[in-house]
Amino acid sequence: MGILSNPKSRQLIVEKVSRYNNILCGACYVVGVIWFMALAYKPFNAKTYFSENALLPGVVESGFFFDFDVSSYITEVKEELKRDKRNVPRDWLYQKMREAGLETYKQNYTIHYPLHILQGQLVPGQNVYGILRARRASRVEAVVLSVPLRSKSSELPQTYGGLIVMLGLVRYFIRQPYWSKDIIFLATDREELGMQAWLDGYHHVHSQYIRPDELPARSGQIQAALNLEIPDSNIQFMNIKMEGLNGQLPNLDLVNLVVRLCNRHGLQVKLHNKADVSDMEAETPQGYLQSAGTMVRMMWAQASGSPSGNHGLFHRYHIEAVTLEAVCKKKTGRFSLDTVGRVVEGIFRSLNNLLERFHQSFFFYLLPGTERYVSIGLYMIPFAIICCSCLIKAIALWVKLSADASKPDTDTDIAVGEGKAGSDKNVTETTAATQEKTGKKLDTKSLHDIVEEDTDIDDHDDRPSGVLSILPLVLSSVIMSVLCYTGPELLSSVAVPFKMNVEDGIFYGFIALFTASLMFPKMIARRTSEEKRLNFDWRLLKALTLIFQSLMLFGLALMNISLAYFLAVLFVPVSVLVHPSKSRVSQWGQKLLLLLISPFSILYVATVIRSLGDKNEGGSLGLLGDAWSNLSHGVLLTLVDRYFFGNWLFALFSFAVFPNWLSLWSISFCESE
Amino acid sequence: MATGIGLGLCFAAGIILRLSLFRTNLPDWFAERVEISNALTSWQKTLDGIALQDNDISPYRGDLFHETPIMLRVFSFVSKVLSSKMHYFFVFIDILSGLVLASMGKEFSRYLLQKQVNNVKNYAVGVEKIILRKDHVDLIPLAIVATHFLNPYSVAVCLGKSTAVINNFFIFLTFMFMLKGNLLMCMGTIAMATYQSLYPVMLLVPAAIYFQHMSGQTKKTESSQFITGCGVTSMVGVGMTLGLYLISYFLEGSMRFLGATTGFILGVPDLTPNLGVFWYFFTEMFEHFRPFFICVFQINAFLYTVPLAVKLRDHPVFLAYVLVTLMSIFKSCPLFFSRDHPVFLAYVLVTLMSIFKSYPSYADVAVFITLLPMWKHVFSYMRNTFVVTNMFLVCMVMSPILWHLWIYAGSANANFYFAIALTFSTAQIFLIADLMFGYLRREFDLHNGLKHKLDNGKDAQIVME
Repeated sequence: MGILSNPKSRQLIVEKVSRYNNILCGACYVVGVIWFMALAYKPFNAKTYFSENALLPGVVESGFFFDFDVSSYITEVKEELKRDKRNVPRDWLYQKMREAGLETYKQNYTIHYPLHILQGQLVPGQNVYGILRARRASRVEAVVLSVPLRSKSSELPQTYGGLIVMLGLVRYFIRQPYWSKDIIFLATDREELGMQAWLDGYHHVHSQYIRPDELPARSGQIQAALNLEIPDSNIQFMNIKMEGLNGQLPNLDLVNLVVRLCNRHGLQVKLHNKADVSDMEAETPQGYLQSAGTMVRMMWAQASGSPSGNHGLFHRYHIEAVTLEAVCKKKTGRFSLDTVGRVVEGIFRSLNNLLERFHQSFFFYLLPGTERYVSIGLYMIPFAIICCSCLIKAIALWVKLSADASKPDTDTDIAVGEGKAGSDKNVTETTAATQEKTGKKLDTKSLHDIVEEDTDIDDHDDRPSGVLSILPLVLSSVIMSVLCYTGPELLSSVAVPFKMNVEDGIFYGFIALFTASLMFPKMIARRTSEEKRLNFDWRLLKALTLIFQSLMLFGLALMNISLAYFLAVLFVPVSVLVHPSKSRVSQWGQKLLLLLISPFSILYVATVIRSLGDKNEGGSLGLLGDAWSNLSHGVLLTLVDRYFFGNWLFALFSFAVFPNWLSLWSISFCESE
Repeated sequence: MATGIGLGLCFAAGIILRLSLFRTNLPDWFAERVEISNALTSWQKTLDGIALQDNDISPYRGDLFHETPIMLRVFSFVSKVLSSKMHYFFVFIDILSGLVLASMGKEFSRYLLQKQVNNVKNYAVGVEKIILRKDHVDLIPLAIVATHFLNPYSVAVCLGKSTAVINNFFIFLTFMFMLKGNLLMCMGTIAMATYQSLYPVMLLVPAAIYFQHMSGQTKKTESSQFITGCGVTSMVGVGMTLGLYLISYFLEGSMRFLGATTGFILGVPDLTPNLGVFWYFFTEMFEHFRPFFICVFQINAFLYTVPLAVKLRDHPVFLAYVLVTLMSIFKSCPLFFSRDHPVFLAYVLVTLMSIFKSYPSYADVAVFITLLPMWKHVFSYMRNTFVVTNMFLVCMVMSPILWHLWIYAGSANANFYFAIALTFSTAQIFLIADLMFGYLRREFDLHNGLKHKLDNGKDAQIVME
């Protein structure tokens, strides 16, 4: 067991670590952050490739064409949309799919909003879907092509271009003999809610809030799905979106497939509106900045934990899915819907070749460009280095603690048995030396005396130590996080009888809780003779917090690396720095830093950045104001996501980030020695 | 007095914690976790078995039910009485275990002091500092009960309604009767535990040594006599176990239950992933090698009893004093070990059981974590507490995450989960190795004094090899 059983070499390492811990922590953090961002630089990442050979992308000749007049269909849809602001072209689509000879169905569902939103009213919705049965195989597998239905009043871009492409594909696919998987054409209502309702209905899942009706017909196991968001003709370029619920990503092979086929048909693909860097520029500073920007945008989308499109909900059912979003420009858009149709045809021909589920290639990756990727093996190392600085600090504190515990051994009254884990036994061994000369062998009587002797465990030092001193703090953090987690339901049930807006009720409730948590170290402080003082074994608390934090970050990194990375970048330096201090400046500096990384500030900054991306008007003050009003809405949306789709973000914040921050906050309030 | 209040507080805290957590949706989640309920201990399977029994179908016909016939009747009775309030039963068992542990702790502290008095003539000069004191030892029952009620493993097992809590209860009882010196009851509880999960049969060895040692405490018994005595005592336990099987036979009217319970444990037909190492190995294996490797694995699980019993009986386990700069300085290393570590041996065996058994779960971990404070006086000699604690924490957090990624998200695979299972086993081995080192190191200090010098006057460092 090498390092575990050889005390000599271990002693050496432990000594080194505890002596240079500050330098090591800083170095680890800086190296980790820089290394992580450097992964976007071309020489440090790799070119994507196909692991699944069965896909054979682009081998077949594409034969797709619209056998109807596209422009007349577009006018029909527009007519349909104009009829009512809230109308979606559902019936029109149903009619057209029927006419094309496809077996088409409607699915009804009702939505029951949580948290007393809309006073518990039920909201109805309807999806349309059609199934093209495979001719050459046993119809046990299926692929899905989906388009969201949007009304004129929707804030998001229209999607009728996608509907036209879908109809064209229905008419073309139905004549082809080669399908060995069923193809499901799906148009969903109410964005993610409709999609969730259809998926729940398909897989017989019942939830309290989305209640799907029984599907009239179904197909086999769904292997993959493609979601189209195409506003109109005149397409300038395509965006590929892959970030799913809770930061889950689809298999990289599917992403590669879509990118490859788009490129083959001359259609430009981008990630978050950012084009790839050309090979010539890739290794220049500008090229690096551009790909780093793309990677950060992708990480930002992943970190939010909410799906960037309807595809994101498929991942939970073990179905690989991406969204292709078209960006249209009236004047400069070069591509027509035909090109998109041929791309989708190619994708479905490839999916048709699949012999087994997507299982090769990568599920954990970051993309600095559509054709470059950073795999888990590459990004985990710098991330682990960042987390290492927490662990090093924790070890250093632990060593200090155990050294402190064995110090009182010079006094013979105190039993060694009370000491904490002794990594250094030399102390005990040397102190016995004086006794050995004078002492004599024990007999039964002297033994009895020693055994009965009253040992004063509690040393006269008034500095509290041990687990008991930090127990109140830990317990109150736990209570705070439970309050935070259960708060919304309680508040919303209170808000309704008071005729308060639920959104406001919950938001102000959270602000109240946050204010209470700011005051909480003061409340816990014990009243001694003169004044209130908060005194506890801060080294132990900090060591435990650091370990808890690294565990949390590492566990999170396995599911959502982007969120873990952003949290680590924020939390690691502050948590390593914070300690009780005598100097006013350092005390207030620490408190300021802690306030900056408090869950509330994190949320606010995140909203500001998001509003920044949305629109650039009204100046910086207007932006901050907008973000403030968006914040309460954003909090409510996250909460609702938790009930509808099982989003973990809220649970993560209330049970991991919040208590972690609380204990750091209370450390900054501890009396210094 | 203070201890009494402390005990009361622990009981109250534990009961309130369990009952309030039963009102959340955690128990449903725990009941599905493979780390908590496996084929042997799942409450759902027990309910299925009871339903089959009620419909006059032998539950042992299929591959569904693996509780023993006597336990089936007990559970069937209890579930009919309590019906939907079944969780009270599990809390009740935990309370009973708590009572047993409190009593056991008291006996154990008495035993420790007694042992110290018996051995004092062998102690070296100047060891006053590591002599056990009464007011330290008196805290042991409190520490054990607190750990039992508040450690996350015990709580999770209780919430998950794992039927292994019954088995754990019998193991605690075994320790209690052993320390009380009640041979028949001790053998009876070992028999009951063995009847349920087979592996506790190993506990016969320390129990036999203990009772043999007790009867011949003063006079030095011959080695052959000692072994014969042990054999006779173990025979009592084996006989009782056989008796239980016989009763089951009369209850069931056939021996079919044997294949579904003991056979199921030995043959490992269920390869549902768990925190052990069996499933991974046997899913990868060609069918015709299976019997051979099953024998190897099962023998491995039992094998450690022999060397441990021998070492902890006559010869000290620690063995090696590898010295830092020069070798072999302790030329005259006296082998002071008397036959007095049966309780420690029993503890080591309980831990080993949970590492090497075919269907381990957190219930087995809960046993040895609960009993860990028995060795409070050894903690200061342990060197890897930090590493081992962190390994346990990491496993506890990571195993559900990796399970989710593998089974639900489909983005990870079996290797990820097995890595955690392996880490968990390693953590347990580190813990027990470290504890053994600490224990033996303390004994060594008691017999050789606290100060070890090399010939050249440098400080010696004692290493376990």
